[in-house]
Amino acid sequence: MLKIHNLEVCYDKHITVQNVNLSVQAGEIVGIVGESGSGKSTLVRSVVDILPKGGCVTNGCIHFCGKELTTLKDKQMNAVRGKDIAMIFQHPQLTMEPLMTIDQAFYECIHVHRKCERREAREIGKSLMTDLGLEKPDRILNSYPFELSGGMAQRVAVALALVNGPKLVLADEPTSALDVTVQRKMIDLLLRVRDKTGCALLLVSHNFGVIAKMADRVGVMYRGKLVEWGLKEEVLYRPQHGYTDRLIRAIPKIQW
Amino acid sequence: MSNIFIKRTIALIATLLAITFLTFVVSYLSPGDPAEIKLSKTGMPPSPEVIEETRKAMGLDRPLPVQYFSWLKGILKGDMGVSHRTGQNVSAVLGKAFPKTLTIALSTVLLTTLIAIPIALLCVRYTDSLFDRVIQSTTYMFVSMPSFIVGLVLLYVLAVRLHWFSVTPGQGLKGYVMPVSVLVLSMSSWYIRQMRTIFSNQWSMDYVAGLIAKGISKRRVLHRHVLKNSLVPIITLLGNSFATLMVGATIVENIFSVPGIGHVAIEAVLNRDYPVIQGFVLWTAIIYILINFLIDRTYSVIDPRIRLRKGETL
Repeated sequence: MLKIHNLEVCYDKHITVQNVNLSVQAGEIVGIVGESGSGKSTLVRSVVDILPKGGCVTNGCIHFCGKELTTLKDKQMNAVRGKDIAMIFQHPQLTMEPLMTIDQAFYECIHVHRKCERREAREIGKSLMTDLGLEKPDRILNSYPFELSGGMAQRVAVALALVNGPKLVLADEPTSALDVTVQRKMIDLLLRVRDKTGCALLLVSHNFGVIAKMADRVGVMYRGKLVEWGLKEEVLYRPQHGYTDRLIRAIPKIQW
Repeated sequence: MSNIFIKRTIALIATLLAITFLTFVVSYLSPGDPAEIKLSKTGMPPSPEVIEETRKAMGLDRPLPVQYFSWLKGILKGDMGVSHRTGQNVSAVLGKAFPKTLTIALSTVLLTTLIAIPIALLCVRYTDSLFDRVIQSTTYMFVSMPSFIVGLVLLYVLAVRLHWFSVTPGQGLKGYVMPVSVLVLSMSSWYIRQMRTIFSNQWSMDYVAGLIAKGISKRRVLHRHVLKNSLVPIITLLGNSFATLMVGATIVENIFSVPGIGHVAIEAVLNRDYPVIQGFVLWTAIIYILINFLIDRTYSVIDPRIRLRKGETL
């Protein structure tokens, strides 16, 4: 469904991601691990072209459902973003518009892709949040992002991402800003979302534990390159690259 | 809510009282005897007896607190005293100047906003483009020039060369075209630069990436969400500019002979016309306090973080 071929991303002529090949099948969870600065965030952001200022794809292709994303015009790209490919960020509160209530956020997210009434948007948001196990959805809908706790905001962010029935969800460190107990819940939630909606998940984390728990297929990024790529079991038990080996041995032993 | 309102009102009155007292004292202590100045207007040097009589008639022989309170009592009744120079009521003098200054202030702030916001938004949308760079250098030029130079150049070109407007103040609204243009030119230059900075700061925030990832067009994100999130600093700046103009755009009013508040203030200072000076200072204080109060209110209307945090502390 998503196929990245020979991708190269630069920030002001400085190469951050180089020669990356990977693919995500429908309904699959692909996890990318790597230390900070390894280019994993850049990789997922380049899929929907939301790189920070100065960043751009300089080589390679990103193929998604028959479209070549790197050559799409802004307008065509807008139709893909939030619709077929949704995104979850590390800091849900910072990535939500601070002056919009959750209610308004739901409306805005649906409204850009199809005609919809405010009341309808509210109902959709409410049922999605109830499905995701959020209590008192009406109260959440009337709140502003800064009024929510981190874990709650991240679950709301998941609900907002799912609102248009995406085929692929990109998750950039979705658990890293949460404390450990909430992290666990978040992982379960994302797994449940995959099982229920059948959407694929491209997950990026520095936490090998999270990736090991969730992913079907794993990639390891090191200094802008994908040094390891394969099924989770292969990568975990028969790492090809020395860096992966060191990374695996660095996982703290915690009983899940 | 009512608690905070009462506290604020008390603070407001206290500030006003302090300001009125200070101005009164400063005027009282400054050299130059108003009675003598008033009498010298007739052209003949007055005798000491006449000066003494006039001082008594004007109430200048009473002790300072008594003078202050009688002045303050008058203020509360709307009577700010009588101009030493012209014998006119101070409230009437200010009242006559007020509509002219209000016209200038309102139209300047309005036009500046209408010019600066779209241009600044375009600059951010097309950062480092030719358009952006041309705007940056042009505004830089106007910002570094004093407004009276812009005024004199405009006066020369439009009035002396092109004869579009007369050098003497025009009739009706036409008289405002030139002073307002000068103010708008230098003010919008400054505002384009300020707003460009404010918008581009907002543009690099995480929520912008979040909104774009939802499929919202960059245009809409900028024009709707970034603009809305920039309103607090923008309203603060515009409010302060409005207050400054309401107190009188002294230089521009004088160049273009607009008899506004700034004009009145200069005349009063040059003639040591204490009642008018006091009236002017009081006017300044009221304007600043009122506008800052309004700016404060709009903060909580715009930003729920400010509104709700205030609610918690109550």
